[in-house]
Amino acid sequence: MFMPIRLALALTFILTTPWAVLAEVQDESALDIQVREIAKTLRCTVCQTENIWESGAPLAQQMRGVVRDRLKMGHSPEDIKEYFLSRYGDYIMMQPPAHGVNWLLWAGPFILLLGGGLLLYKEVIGWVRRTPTPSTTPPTPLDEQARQRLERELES
Amino acid sequence: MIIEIGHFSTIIALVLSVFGMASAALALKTRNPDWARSGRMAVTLIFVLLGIGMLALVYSFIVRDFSVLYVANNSNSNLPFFYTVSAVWGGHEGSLLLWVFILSVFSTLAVWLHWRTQPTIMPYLIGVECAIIFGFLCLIVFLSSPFERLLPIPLEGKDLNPLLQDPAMVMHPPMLYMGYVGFSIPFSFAMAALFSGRLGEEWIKVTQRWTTFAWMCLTTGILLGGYWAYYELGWGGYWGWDPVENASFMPWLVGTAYLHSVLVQEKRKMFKVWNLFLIIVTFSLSLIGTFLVRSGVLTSVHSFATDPERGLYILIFVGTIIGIAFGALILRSAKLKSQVELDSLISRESIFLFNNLFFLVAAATVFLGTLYPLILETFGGGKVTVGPPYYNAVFMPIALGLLFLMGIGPYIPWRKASVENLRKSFSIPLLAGAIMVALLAITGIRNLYALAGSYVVAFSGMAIVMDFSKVSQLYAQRNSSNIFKGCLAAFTANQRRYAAMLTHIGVLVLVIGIIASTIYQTEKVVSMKVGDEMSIGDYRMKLTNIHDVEGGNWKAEEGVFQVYEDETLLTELRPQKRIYNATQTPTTESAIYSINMGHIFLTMPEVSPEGVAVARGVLNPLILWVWGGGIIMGLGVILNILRPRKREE
Repeated sequence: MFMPIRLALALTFILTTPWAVLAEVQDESALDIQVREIAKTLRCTVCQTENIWESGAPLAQQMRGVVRDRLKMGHSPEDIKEYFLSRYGDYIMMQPPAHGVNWLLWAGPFILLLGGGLLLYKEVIGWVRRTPTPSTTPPTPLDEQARQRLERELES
Repeated sequence: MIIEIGHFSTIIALVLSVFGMASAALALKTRNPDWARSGRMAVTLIFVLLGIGMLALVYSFIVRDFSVLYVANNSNSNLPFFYTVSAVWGGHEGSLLLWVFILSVFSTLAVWLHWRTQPTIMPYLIGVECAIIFGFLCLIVFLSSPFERLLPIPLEGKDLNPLLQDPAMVMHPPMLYMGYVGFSIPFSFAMAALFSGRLGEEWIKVTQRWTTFAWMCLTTGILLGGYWAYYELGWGGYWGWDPVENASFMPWLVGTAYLHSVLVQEKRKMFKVWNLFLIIVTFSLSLIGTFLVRSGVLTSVHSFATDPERGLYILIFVGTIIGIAFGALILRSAKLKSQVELDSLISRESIFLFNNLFFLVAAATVFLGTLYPLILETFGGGKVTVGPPYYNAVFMPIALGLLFLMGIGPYIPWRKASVENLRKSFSIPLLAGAIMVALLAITGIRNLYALAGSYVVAFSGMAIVMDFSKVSQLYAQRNSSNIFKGCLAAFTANQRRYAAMLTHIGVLVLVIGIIASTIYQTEKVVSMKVGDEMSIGDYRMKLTNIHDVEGGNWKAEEGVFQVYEDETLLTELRPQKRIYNATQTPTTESAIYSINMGHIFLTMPEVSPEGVAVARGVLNPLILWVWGGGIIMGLGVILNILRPRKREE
């Protein structure tokens, strides 16, 4: 398209729809997305197990602000995590770090599952071994009377 | 005056619960049936009296009698009528009263329903139910009474928490409590079996419908809670692994294990101790759940320590019941040692055992995660948070295992499965799973959980469909009717089994919904002026107006968003930022549009004085499958309960 036509079109558009001058398509910036990703890992300290992204509490809003400011200042997500950890301790993370006594929490379910599974398996095998095997002679065919009765039973 | 009548009735009910326990004991000692009859009368009267107590409280809410402390704390003159009734269980004291009232309803029903067929059980049933009622009534009467007066009488009430002013929250607590309390009936029968030494299969058969009903109520309650959280809390999710949610999930998990495990005892007369153990744990977890939620211990150890009376009482009460139950079980277990006969590792019996293992480990995981912060803090290990990332990582593999067992369990025969059995039943489902994964992989889905989940769902679904169609064909052939009549005949002839399979299908649908809506959720938050647009996924949203609206007891700023797909206008969404007048609490009201089985979910958490709105759009693909799956599960359970009685039952 020729430049003047484009320009004319654009001008008409702007002039005929006055609000269009102000209106624009809004989108998230890379910063917004980064803030969200970090905010989802941090706990709102005054809420009940809610992260600062999902929480509507004023404190959560402030903390989101802190995350945003620090990102703007050029801090890396790691720095920000360290910052919050140094101020609030492990409590601030949405999940406990996998060190020290917390291993119990992280590995506990799987130890239970494996241990329980093994125990159950051995027990079941033991039961199976102690159970006399049913005789292998083929069952005698049903006589007609029994067969009819069975049919009736199934029917009911 | 009215509230005093309620208070007085409740106190009499407390006295009668002692009388009920005493007459149960005397009925056992003297073997005089008159004592059992007076126990029955006591239970019935407790129900009537607690009914009067409930009505008195409801009445005080309806007339907005702010001289009643509980009403003043949970109501307001502008609270809509609908919510004045549900406000009865909007707070601590009222929900306890509701709990024990439901318990009295169930006890009365159970006593009258089973009176003729279970005469020997009755004294035990009456005794146990009265003991539980006694425990809760003591708490209500002495430590947290909803009947207390307030002086001077305030002109205005504090209002019901705005988040609870919602239809789903009206039904959520009663449903949940009906689930918790419903398990008390099989629990009481189990206790009767233990105390009386009549340890056969009878108590299980008699309580099977009770158990199923309780399970249905608990499931519905949990799902309603999720549904409420979804559209009321405004972050677009329905399950946050919140301690309160976990408290209701634990009894559900063990209750589900029990529901399956009793089938083995019914069929093969094995695992008696195990089933007793499971129902005791299930009901204990119902009580523990109530304790956790109601004692304040979850918010923090400190808030518990500063106001320890209630919490300590509930702890001791719950501890006593659990202690007695397990004590009785241990004392009896020697007598219960039955010869276990298992023909093969690959049998229905053993699959049920592994099912139980997975359910118990799942429950233990939730238990550990919920209590870990408390334990750590108590022992000076510092404060930690156990949030969704933990559960997602740890719980999902266990859930996948359960789904897999659900797929194979129903098609592995009792006693022993031959290789031929396995090949016939599972080769096509295995293939179906593989095809499903291949199809999804082609469409670009790479998430491991999504693929594994879809595999298991396709496998389990195909196994159910194959079995049902095969049996339906047999019925159609035999009756020489068409296949639809065959399906119907197959279903009605095996209603218990196929109703359960319908519930399994509901679970599969639910799981698909969960996978899609969690893993493939898209979310976008942008600041917009009137006239601005945002795009999310294939949709565009244009903010056309922000205006003020007013409801009965709130004011709000409402954003009007036009939603377009390409150039077609789909709908207008109107999310609100509300302020409730009485408490000045802000809430965000979401606006939802359903499309392609998913939701476009929109909230407007903030509006600045300059008119810049923060809009939060979330696309939740296939989320309707979550609720649809729940409905199918419920349908299956209802068909199970309503099945015609068979001779052997």
